[in-house]
Amino acid sequence: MRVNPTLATEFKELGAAKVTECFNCGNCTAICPVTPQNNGTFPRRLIRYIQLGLEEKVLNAPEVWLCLTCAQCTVTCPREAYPSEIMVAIRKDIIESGMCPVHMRDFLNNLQKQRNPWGIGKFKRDQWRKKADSPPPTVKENPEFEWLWFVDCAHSFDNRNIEVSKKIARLLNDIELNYAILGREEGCCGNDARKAGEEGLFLLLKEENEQIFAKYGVERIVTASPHCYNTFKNEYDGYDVKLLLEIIYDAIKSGALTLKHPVNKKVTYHDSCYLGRYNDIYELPREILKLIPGVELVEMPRNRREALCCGGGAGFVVSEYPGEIRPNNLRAKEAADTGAEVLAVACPFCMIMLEDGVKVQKVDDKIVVRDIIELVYESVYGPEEG
Amino acid sequence: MVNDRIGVYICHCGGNISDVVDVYKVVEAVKDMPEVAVAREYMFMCSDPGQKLIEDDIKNYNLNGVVVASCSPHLHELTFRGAVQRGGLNPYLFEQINIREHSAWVHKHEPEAATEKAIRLVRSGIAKVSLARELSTIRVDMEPKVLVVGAGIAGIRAALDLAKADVEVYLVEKQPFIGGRVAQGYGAYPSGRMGSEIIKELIEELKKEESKIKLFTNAEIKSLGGTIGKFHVVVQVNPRYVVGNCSNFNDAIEKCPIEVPDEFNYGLTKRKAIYYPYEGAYPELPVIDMENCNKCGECVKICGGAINLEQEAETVEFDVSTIVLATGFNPYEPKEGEFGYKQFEGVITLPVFERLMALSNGKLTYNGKEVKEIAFIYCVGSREKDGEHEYCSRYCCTATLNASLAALEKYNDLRIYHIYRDIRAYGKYERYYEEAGKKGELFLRYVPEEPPVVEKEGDKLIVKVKDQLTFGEEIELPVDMVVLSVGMEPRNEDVFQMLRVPFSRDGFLQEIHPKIRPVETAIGGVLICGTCQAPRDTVETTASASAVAAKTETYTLKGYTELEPFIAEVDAEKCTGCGDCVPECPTEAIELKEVAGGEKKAFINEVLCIGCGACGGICPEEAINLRGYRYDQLRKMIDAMVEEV
Repeated sequence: MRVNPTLATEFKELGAAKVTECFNCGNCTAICPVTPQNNGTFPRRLIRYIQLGLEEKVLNAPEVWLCLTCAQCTVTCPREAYPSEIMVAIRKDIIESGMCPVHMRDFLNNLQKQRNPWGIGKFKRDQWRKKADSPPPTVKENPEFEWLWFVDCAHSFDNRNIEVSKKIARLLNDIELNYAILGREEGCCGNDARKAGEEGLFLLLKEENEQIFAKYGVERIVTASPHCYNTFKNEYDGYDVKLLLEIIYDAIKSGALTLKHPVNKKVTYHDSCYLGRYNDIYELPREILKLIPGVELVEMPRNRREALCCGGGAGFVVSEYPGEIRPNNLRAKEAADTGAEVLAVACPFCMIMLEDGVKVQKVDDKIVVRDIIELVYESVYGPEEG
Repeated sequence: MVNDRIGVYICHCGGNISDVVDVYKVVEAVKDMPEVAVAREYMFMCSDPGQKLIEDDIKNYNLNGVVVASCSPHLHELTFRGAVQRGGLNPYLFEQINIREHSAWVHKHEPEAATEKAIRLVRSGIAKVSLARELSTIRVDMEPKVLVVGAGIAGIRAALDLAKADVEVYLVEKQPFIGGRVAQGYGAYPSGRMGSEIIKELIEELKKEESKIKLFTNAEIKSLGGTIGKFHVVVQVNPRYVVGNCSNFNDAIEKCPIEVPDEFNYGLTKRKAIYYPYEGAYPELPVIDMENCNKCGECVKICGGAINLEQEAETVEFDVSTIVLATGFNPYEPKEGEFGYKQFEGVITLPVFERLMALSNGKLTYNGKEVKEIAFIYCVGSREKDGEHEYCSRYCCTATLNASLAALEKYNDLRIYHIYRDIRAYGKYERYYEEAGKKGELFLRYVPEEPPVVEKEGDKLIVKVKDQLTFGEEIELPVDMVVLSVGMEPRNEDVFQMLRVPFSRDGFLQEIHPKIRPVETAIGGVLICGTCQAPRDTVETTASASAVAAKTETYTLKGYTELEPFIAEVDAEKCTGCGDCVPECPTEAIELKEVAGGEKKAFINEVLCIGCGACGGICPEEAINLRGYRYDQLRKMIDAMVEEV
């Protein structure tokens, strides 16, 4: 095979900016939670192919679809070559070449047509609001809003997460935050479209979002989804972005929320990749849990920077995962092994994946998956309401 | 005369000896020997009270000999000699017997036999001391005069350091100009400064020390004799043919009709028969290469008396007290066909590549062709398990990385591949490796069983590598140039034979001890530094050069040095002058001289003799004794050893 030195340059333009810095040490392969046991060369092999310019081999490597963009490799890489971003770049190249694999098509089509991963009609995005006892105001109802609550796809369409959305709304109303939601005009942030390699779709979604934000004069965004948070904060320009947990934490600290009811539970917290490794937020969720009276916080052996992914990144919250290793099942078992009764999450995708994992592992009699918001809510309003 | 009041001391060594050897029994066994005045055992003879015991006994018992049975003389011979001397006795009327390593430790499961062996050893020690004679060290006067062989960066650095300590230096260089291999280098690491710039800085220092440093260039050492304290040196200074100054040397060089490949640039350029190797070369006078000069006289027309085409070689003789060898290395010359060397155009070695960079401005060109893609192949001629060079030259990895980074900086759009076995950019130089990777230089790793292959395809060279970083897949690299990263080879200079300096297994000169005596050789007064000793980079070379200068000063500045007295001694009455001993001597220390009456007798040069005893062994008349190991001593020792216990 003959080298083609220009390929690495092309990949740098696709986002693999540091691909030539890799010195093939294999740390990424060693740390990757989904590298097949008997073929331990992913993702190192693919990075090497790019360096050498063996495009044929790069484009025809099915392993690239194993990557969940959990970024364990990226935070571990001694050369800061960002291996997970290189995987994203390879997927961009594949999708641009029109070779999108079958298992990714539905996810991307759904996003394109309905602006959500599940393909539910986009006009249904605000239907959850009708079920809420304390519904959030829309931008039309409160045009003078300070904060836009970007509800996100999972909190708008997924039934389990809608339960959380309703509680968020009551909390935000009670602390008297001046906020509003976009209702059915809200779109998808595009974070996972981009990580799946559909750069064009990401740019389209981003443009739409920016237009709608401009229409309502959005300057400050609050979101409960780490995926949205990541992309608004790091990949959009000009918005003041906050995580919902930051607002909740401030409200507790200022006395706007009182955690008066004890939640007498042993709780373990599962770090979201996009909060932790992407944005270095490890302690905020733990601090909130520690403030809840009665909560006994225990850690899983792999936590913070080393936390295992739930398996829901880069579109795999809906797409059929091609790998043999299912991180959500492993993680559910790890959580149950701590003896905790509650597996606390701070991400709607983690919620979906881990609820599934807990059931598959048949530990649902021992442990339940709950959003941190739900635990706060229970402490504020009491167990009956919680 | 027999020393018949000997003090004997058996050491417990805190149990190291006494746990196995019955030290009381040893004392019992020897205390009544006729030569013994007092015998004792003691917990630690080397301790201050232990030494004091010897000192006091010498006075109280009027001892005339001392035997200490303890550990190895390597450890404490000097300690006890000191105690004996402080007690008022000649320090050579003393023998240390090793009953720890030679008995207690090796026979720890047989305490009785160990005790018996210890008794025999101690008895033979007593026998030896009973016949011992007073000896004194041999004092050699040292004048502060040093010969430094080789005026590369090591020789210059050493000469400068010596001159600054007021030592007179004779600096002898074979080539017509000084500066050696460093002057040829391009951007030597770590600073990246041009080698010739570094040399120029040293030359400026050298000029200030002219009164202390006598520099001979174009000079060969014809003979070298003598020994520490007085080496006699004969140097032949070959004619330069340029004998004076002239302001028009450059015109003369231009007019010279002869053009030959320029060895300074490894033949990449041509030079004239009268030439300077590079701008700023020292000495500032050009040289005429008489092998190629046709004596047309064009240069004489311009420079007149400054040039003398009939100049002859001169011989200079002088004496020095020590010698520093700084003769440097040769870069390994690959064999024809080794990675396409001398088989395909564009396959060159790293030193040549460095000259090429120094000469190519704007674009990197070789034989008129622009070079855009370069493959560096590492470990060429190095680390060959069963081959010519088993060793790693260790400077080449960093030098190659450094050269590749310099090339990337100097020329646009270069594509660089490194085909390596292991990168050994040790110490601070790991950052070069890192930087090369970050700048997009690509690394491919080969194993020695499957080395890369260089082939020719059209106007490109194709390097095929079974790349370990791509899981052993064969990768083809089309390049314009292949640079072979070659190691250092030892040189073989005539002076090595003249001085009989020992070599290491790799063929470099060997120090006495790599950790404890790193710059001295087994030949007294001969010291080594730089790459004649081992492959080294510039930093390590100058460090060893400054070390050798400091070490040399410890010999020369005190005015004298002392040698052990255990050398051969001729009994003139017994010597028949047969001369059998003369060829036997490995250091040529024996000479037959005529004495009054026309007879010939053997004479020993005290300074040259190393006390090996070879002459005593061959002498049919037992006329040559080794001081401290006389025939009568050895016979009595054997008798004492075999006597029943």
